[in-house]
Amino acid sequence: MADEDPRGLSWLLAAIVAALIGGWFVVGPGADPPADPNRPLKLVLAVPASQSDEVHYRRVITRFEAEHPHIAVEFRSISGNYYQKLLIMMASGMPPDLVWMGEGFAEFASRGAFMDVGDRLERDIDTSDFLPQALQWYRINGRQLGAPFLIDVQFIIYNKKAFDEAGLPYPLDDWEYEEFLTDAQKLTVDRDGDGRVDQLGFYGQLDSSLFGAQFISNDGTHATCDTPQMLDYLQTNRDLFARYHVAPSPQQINGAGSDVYTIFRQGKAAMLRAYTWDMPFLREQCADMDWDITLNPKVRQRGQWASSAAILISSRTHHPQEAWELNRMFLSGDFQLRMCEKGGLPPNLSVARRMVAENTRKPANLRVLIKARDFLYAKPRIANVTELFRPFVDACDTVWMGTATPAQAMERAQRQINWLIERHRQRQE
Amino acid sequence: MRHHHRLTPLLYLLPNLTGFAIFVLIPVAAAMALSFFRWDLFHPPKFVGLQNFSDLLGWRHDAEGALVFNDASFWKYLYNTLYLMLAIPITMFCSLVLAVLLNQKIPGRMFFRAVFYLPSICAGVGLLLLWKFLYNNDFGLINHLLAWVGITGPDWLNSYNWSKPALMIIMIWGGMGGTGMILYLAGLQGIPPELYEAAEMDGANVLHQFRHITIPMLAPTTFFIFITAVIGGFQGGFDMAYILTNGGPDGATTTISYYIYNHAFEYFNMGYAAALSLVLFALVLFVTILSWRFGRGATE
Repeated sequence: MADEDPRGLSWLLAAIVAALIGGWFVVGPGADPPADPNRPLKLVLAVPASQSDEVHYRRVITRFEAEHPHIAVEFRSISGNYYQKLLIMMASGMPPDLVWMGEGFAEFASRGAFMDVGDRLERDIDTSDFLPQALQWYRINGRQLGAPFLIDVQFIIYNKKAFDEAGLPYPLDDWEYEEFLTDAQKLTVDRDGDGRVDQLGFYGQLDSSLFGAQFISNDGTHATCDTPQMLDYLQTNRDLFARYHVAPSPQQINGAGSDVYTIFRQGKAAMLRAYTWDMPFLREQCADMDWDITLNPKVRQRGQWASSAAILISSRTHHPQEAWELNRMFLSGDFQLRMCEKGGLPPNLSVARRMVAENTRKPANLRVLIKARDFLYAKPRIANVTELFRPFVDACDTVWMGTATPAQAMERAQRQINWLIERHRQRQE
Repeated sequence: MRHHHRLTPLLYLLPNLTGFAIFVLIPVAAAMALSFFRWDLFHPPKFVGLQNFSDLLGWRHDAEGALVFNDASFWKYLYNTLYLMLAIPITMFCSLVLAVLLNQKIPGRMFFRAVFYLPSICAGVGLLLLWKFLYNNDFGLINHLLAWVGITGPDWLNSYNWSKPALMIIMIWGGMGGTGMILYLAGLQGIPPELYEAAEMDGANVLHQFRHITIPMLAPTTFFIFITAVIGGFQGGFDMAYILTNGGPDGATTTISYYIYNHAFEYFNMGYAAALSLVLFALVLFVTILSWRFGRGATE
């Protein structure tokens, strides 16, 4: 029948499309439902899914709802690609009132996704005990968008048995690059004499902060890839695997993923670059090993890579004050302690000290995390940082592969990043 | 009454057409429209005309006065995509060989057909994670086996020269026993046996029969497999780049589809991603038309 009248099909399709588009204009974004005074006020909180963390979030929510009986909190535990799903929720005009933010903060914040809570923070929270850098990380264009409840820190974990076997003293917190390299060389062992290394001295790479290197300026206006510090960072890390053979290449490290715990547990690496979020795995998978942690060795300067997690308020929330009332609960010392006890550094110094004092599990040297507070370095908080970072990563790959010298690679990265910055600037005009 | 008869089939089609409109037609139209806008998903889209296309396909003079592409990465990733598509003819050849072998009356052929089809029904992510393990330079099985025969295997996924062939091996492994093999099997069973009998009587050996009967008779099937594989090839590579290599090293395994994803969901350049999609669509259309024009004659 339709073959006899193909136009009927076209008309039907056109009608469907028209109906759908018309419907979208009626109920789509921009058409906020009218507030119903009889319904309780609802706040939506979105966080990445994690069963153990959910308990702590729900405990805070229960307390909040008890204190504010007219407010209901919907807890959305988002599995999979959290940022992507959050982005879609925001783009579709249905952003949660409060959202968890980690490494993706700069991309969202630079586009105005979050509310300025500077005045409220100053009024309601005692930040005198707070790590100053951590507050700075959440300040963009003069607006304080929140504060973290947890700081993630990178450190070095070492196998005590390997050090004992090599006759080496355990590394001190204030050790330097020369000691690190000497130890790594002595800890790199071919046990069976087959010409293949059975135990690497170090499974990781030294962070760029140790060299005072950063791929882009803090204000994001120009690339800083070709500085002597950056070239030193690349050459030193290349030497670790290509010249001294004490470490795998950075690409191999990235490719290993969570297998690094297995590598460490099996005694294939004496020292490992690790992060506070690794702590639960290390405690579980390396329970029968004697291990401890220490800070990065000083190279050009001291430095520890850091990241953080915070609950922030959407700039499009209809309930800013109520959202803040909930948000401030996530900054409490109690919540910081609960979220950090399995791995993380509380931003409040007193809470961090309490956590260390009460720690009865490995690592024994947990206090180094407090020492690390003095030289934490986070990724630059600038717009388009992910896109700008890509040419740098690609150029670093050429150094690791040995197809370019650090100078050649960084000259390329410098050019590409500056071009991208220029293009974004032109687009903004 | 006649009017009623005309409406009935359209009403039966209504649910399907509604789904088609929601999930295909409108998104495609929206993506086309979006390619003329700049949109970061946070602010309202801003009309920029052909700016996205100029940024993507245009060129400029750099600081030294040399002519360079505005988006050199696009051309590099297009090259990567085309390079990976070299796996298509190899996969098709392997599919044909497998189909011919599994079309013989050999014991357990149903079992072998199922075994060869298995990669197509297994979860792609799980398989890719297994491949990641196999390719691992420290403890991967492939380099371990190569070492047994005295060969030092490359660092497959971290080498600029080996990462693309590594992905092609996965594509060939996953594709040769899949839909292509099934279609070839169906095609082989559709060839009248009298043709082979007549050829045999005329003294043609197996190779002659394959060359002068099987291949020509399978030409329409080959053409169909080729066209669908080319379309899939242009759109492919995303899952492998996402799971195995993150597009590296030095962008060696980034394909156009992964680049589109990055611009849309990592860099928040939705308009630019839409322009990339539209260019990819034009490429696929162009190659399909070319294949259709020059390939159809061979199948007739």
